[in-house]
Amino acid sequence: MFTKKKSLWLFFLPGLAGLLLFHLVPFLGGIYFSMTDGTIHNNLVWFDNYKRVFANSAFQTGLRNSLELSLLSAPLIFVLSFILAILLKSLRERSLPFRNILLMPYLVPSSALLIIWMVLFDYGGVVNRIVVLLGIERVMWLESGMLRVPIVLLYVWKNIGFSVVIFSAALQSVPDEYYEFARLEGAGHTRQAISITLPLVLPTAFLVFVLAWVNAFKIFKEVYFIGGAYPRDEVYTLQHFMNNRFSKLEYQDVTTAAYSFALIVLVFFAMLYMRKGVRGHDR
Amino acid sequence: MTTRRNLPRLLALLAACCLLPAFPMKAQAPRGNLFGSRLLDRGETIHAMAAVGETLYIRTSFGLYSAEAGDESAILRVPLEEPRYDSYLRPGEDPDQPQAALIFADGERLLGLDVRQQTLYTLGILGQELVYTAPLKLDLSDFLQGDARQFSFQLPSFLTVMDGHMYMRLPHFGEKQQDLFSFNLQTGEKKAYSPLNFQAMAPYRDGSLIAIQANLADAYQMDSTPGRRPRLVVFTPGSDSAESLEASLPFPGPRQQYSDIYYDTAEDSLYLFTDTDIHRLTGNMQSPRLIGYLPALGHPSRVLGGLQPLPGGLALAFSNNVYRRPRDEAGVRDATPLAIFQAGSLGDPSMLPRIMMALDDVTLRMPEGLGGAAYTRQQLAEALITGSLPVDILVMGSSFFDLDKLMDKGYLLDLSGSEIIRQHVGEMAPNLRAAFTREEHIYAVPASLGLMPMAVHPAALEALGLPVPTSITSLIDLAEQWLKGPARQQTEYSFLAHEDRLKTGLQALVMTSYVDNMLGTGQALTFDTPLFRGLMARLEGLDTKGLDSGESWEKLPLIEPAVQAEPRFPTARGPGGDKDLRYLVLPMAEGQPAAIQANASLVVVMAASQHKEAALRFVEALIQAQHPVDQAVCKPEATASIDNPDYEAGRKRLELAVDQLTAQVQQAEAVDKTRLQSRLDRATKELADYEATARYLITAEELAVFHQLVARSYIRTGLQDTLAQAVWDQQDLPSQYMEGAISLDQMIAQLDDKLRLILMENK
Repeated sequence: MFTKKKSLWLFFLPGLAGLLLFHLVPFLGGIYFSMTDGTIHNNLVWFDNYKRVFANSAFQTGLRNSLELSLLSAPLIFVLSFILAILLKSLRERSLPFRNILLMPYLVPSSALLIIWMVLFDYGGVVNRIVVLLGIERVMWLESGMLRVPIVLLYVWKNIGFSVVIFSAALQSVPDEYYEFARLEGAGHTRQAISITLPLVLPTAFLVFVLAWVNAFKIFKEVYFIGGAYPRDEVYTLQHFMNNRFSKLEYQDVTTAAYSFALIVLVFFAMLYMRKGVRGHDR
Repeated sequence: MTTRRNLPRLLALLAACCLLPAFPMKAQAPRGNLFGSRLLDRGETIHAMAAVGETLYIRTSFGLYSAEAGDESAILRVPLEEPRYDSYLRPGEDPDQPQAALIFADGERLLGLDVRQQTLYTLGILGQELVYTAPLKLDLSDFLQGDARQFSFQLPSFLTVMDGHMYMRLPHFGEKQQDLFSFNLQTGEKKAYSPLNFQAMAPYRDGSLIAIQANLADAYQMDSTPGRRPRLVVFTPGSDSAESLEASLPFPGPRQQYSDIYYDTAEDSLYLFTDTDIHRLTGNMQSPRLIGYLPALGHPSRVLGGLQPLPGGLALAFSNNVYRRPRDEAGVRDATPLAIFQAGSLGDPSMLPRIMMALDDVTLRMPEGLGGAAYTRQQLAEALITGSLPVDILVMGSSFFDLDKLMDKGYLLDLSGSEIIRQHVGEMAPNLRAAFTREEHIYAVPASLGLMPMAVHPAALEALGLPVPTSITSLIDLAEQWLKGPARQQTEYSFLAHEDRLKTGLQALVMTSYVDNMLGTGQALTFDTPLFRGLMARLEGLDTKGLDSGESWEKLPLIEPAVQAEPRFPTARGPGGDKDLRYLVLPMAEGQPAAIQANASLVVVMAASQHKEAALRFVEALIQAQHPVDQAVCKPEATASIDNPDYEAGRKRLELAVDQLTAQVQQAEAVDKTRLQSRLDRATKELADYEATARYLITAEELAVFHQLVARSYIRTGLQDTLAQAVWDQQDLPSQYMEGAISLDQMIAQLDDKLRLILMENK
């Protein structure tokens, strides 16, 4: 028994060493740096940076905007990808081309997508022409607070394919007999989706939600390409704050903001995870 | 008993120890250079070098110098005219007068080659005169291009002497069938050889020569294609054959060209050098050893006979200096390596060679992987934070990186320990000094300062009856006056350079001036002010319809929004130059303070440098190498005119040309007389212009003008720079406004939002 355990450790060791070296040590190092004064001497200032960063209005704006953008994007991705996955399941073998099409934007670089997006949402672009046809006044999508709309749409469009693939995989594991019984009992599509599909794919749904949420927190490239390092207040994200502070050699502010953000996300998802149903073994 | 026996031994050992300092183990290895920055200062270049015994002879563009083994610097032996390699005669020049365009030696004699006369002379020095004896006609026709009347001589790749024969190679890029020739130094007999593409050659053993063979047509593949790499070969003139030594040659550097080579039979060693390194190959020539550094740094030019032996060392020549170096690794051991990263200009391209000539014990290296200015701020930030910036000295534009952060976070060395730096910075205008000092601490030294003020043509304004503006507000008054009055009738003047873009030109000018005036005078930058709105609204109301959209470049602009104020170039002081311009630093409105941005390139020493002492000396040498005019412009107390040290020599040269032409005009016949008279008129005018403008490097009046500009300038760093750059960032709101994509209100609101965000971030 002991020998077996020892050999197991030997197998674990390379992976464990990598984890320690490339994850744990930098993680702990980052915590240390977040408590230094950021000079060449790295003097320890304990939690002063945290106090200062939390009091910084730009940090607050960035955090608030990142939360709001993710609140807009994550549920949209979650709901849309769930619906699309069910629709694709109903198409059975014919679903493959559609799945590939949905996945395509995920593979295209953001900068290329942005060019298309900027053409679409330009003041004289396609979207505004449709808006005018609907009898509404043209909107400055890229120059005003409305920039959030194209940003969220772009993000959703780009990332939805990935969530659909995950949902589709989970849907394959739901036995068809459940649906047959439900249909015999007179349940419609919506009822089936809410009462059968969703509870059975809840752990996967939780994963999709977490990924969509965490990725939505990282909306930055899309805004940066349009608005630069200092865009409008409404789309100034936490990543802007971190990026700008880094280029100003304020590395301790970057680590402080990053750990603060990680803590908030961790607490939020821990609370979600503790809820009954989202853990696979609770089924 | 034992003690008594050992006593004499102990005494002998003690005596030996006492005598040690009197008998050094080895003579001091030669080091240093023979010219300092003298040649660079005078624009003089080295053409050829030769050694006769232990004496080095150096032929420059203006003379023949010599240096003995112990000399600190070269001595001018004979002043000479600049050698000419073509048939063109200077005014009054005697075509029969021999000239030693190229010099070389056969071990005992100093020889001079007159390429015009195709004649070889034995040279002697009598007083301050060169004596030409034993002329020997040579057939140099292979090196001449053109015909007998008009020709030019192609300088050989090398010129070397062995066993009474001079070997020369005609340079080409693969188009010649024969390129190697020898000349018998007794009879002048010429012989051509079949091996091609020897780039450098030196006497070897047993009547043979050693050479580097490379086809320059393959130059850009030398490092990547094994078959095209330069080869080391032994050439035997008797059999007209070359045999490869299969040696491993060091890469010749970015110019893809080796300099001269030298082989020492006693040491069985070959020496060769590149722009930065000296190498020695011994025995089977398989392992090149790095034995020294050279500071050519982008100022190289091949010199014939550029590598000569010295007792215990070597003399290595570039176009602007001759360096003495030891023959072994002492040359590497004794040199302090300094890594420099240039993300900004040192001002003058010759600055780096000048500095390095003053610091011969220091070698400058450009760290690999730092691709010049392509090294972005983000990369620099990463390297600084991770402590992986392998740089001792950083040259950067004031906007390249946040200097305030570098100073505050302790990344920069305090330079105030140096008396030279302290005094230099202490004399600078306080508004400039403020950008790179903290109380008594000095963290940078400006290498160059660029001022781009607005300028007007007062005479043109006067001719049109228009006043010189005294503020941006009055400039807009002037624009309105112009548009209501002469704008559409004028064929001689325009308001700005492009009349058809007058409105946007003025909008850009107002934006720039507003940013500079606010930031440069310590005011908060915000665009939502009655003054800014008022000015921009007035510009929107300008009626520019019907303005000439054609050839506005033919017209003289009344206002130049930004001109490069150049204190150093006398041409700017001539008619039509900057003398006719008046620089303006305008406040936004009467009675307000005004400022313009000064683009400074700053030199800093990294606090983590392992070679702080050498780096400090580098900065000191930089200060000492700076042009006196550049220094005086930054120092308010330097008010006197600065004499031009070359004025008298230049005037004499021009006077001589005028005298010679005058004599020729008097003797000339009718047709020639007209042509010569025209040349005389041009030479006379050139002399008059020279006397009027070249006496001083800068006059007291001109200095006063520049001092006024400097007093109102500010070096934009840190937060100020972030704010200014955000105005013209990738969104470029001002351009969007000028193109009509957004309104004035939108631009102001968005710009102010941006600025507020920056201030919030940096709180």
